Amino acid sequence: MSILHCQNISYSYGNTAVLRDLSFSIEKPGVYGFLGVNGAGKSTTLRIINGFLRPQAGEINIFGLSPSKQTRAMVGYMPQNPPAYHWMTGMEMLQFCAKLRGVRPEEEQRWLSLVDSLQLTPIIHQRIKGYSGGEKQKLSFIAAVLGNTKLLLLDEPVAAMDPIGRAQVLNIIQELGQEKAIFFSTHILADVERICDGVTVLHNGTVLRSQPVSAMMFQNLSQIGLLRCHPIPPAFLQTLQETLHVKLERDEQEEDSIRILCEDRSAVEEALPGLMVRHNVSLRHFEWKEYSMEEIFIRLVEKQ
Amino acid sequence: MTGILLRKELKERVRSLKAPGILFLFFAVGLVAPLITVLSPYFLLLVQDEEVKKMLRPVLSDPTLQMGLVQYVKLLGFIPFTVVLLSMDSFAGERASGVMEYECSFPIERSNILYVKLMADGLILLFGVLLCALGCFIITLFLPGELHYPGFLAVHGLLYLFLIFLMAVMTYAGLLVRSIPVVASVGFVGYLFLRGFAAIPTIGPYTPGGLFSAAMALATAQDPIEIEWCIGLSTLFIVILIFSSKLKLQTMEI
Repeated sequence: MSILHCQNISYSYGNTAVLRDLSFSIEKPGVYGFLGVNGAGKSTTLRIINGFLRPQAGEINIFGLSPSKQTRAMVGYMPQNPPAYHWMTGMEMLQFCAKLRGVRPEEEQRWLSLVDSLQLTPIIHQRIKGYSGGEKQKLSFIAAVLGNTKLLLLDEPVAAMDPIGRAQVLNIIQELGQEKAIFFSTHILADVERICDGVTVLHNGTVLRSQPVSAMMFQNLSQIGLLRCHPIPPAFLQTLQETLHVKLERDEQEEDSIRILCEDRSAVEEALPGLMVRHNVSLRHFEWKEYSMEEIFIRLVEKQ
Repeated sequence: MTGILLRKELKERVRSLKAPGILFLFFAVGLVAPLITVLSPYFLLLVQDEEVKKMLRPVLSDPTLQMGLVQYVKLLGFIPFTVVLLSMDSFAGERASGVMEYECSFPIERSNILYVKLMADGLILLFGVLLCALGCFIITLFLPGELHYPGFLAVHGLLYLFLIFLMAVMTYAGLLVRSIPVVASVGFVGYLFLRGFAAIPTIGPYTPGGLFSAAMALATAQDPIEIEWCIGLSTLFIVILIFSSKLKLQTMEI
């Protein structure tokens, strides 16, 4: 049974279609990134999964059930904007959320250690009104991970945090990913590359890719060989493409440059010298470069 | 779960000073209204001109309990505005700030959220009405005349019922729109309409606004006409409004 299964979800705000036939699923615990440009429909998707919005078409299943009180007991949610309980202290908010989640008072120590590790202890008894954006987000994060939830939906959980807080929260997310499924939207793609097992890319309301991070890097030819050589006979290029199954890009500025986009470096490294000798191509320069998740994301979206 | 939510709602109203402010207003109206009756002759006689004093003396009668109560019921007309202050952001405010959405992510029924908000506002209004009655009662102890206790209690019962009706109207409005000023306007305009309807001959006394006329009659120890019908219809409207709010909340997008 899938942890989360979204099938052919469509949703419109008035006449503006936000999601079109969106489908993806999460099968096992782990950390899953949810990417998309602004307005792609990430928050709307998370709100539909939570049952705040009702899709015009499609079906959502959480552990095989439609969103309900029963599924909400298994799902922790962190909204993009922390809830405005300005009149509460941080401690009161966490206690309130813990009670709503049915967390027993004796388990308080467990989440108090999170408060401590995220450096909120000195301010936890102060009113939330005086917290900074990052502190509110940390508090909201702790509130989301309370209890025995099995799926966490986090909407840009580290957007307002400083680099240290971000690293701490990402470490906790990674640790929690051992036993829970964590689905989080973000614009910080380095974080996805660092901690995610899977990634779902949303563009114009549809899923462009939903796959493991390794497959995403692999299938998108993340390895780039920058080759400068002379001459560059067409037969050489054709053989290169056919035997190694690589994609070639010519640089219009520099006539002697070729970019070799491939999945497997070793195959290219092994075959390239022989091919160059066979076609009388002399090497000027060669180096490897690797596309980051961010570059892959930009390429993917720009292709659309 | 209801207890946890109710404590949170009450704490919020206390910490935001909404509840203390509203309770103070209730108590102040209760105290001040009959006090005006007691003190106004003395204030008027403070004028220095002997000629004016001579003219005023025969006109000014000694304050009585009956006069105090009439003055009190007249000032009760301002009390419903406290409901507007109390209920205008119960739903609209929480929907706009994302708190409603956040609470709906927990394993609780949406109807629980509705009921605890109504209970929290209803409790504050109940305390308010009791404080208002207490304030009035304290002053009337110093006025000559005998207080008709059943009538006095009934006045406050009717007032409370009217406030609950207005609160139910505003709750439903808060589920339809997110704007706090719009919900507040619904409260103000709704109140004026209710009082306006109550003034229509024949049908007026049966409408929720008729509760006010009945309260006035009771305060002056008269028998209000058809009070049972007015109470029954107002209660029915309250039940319908709360039931509609529940249905709306369960099916709406947040």
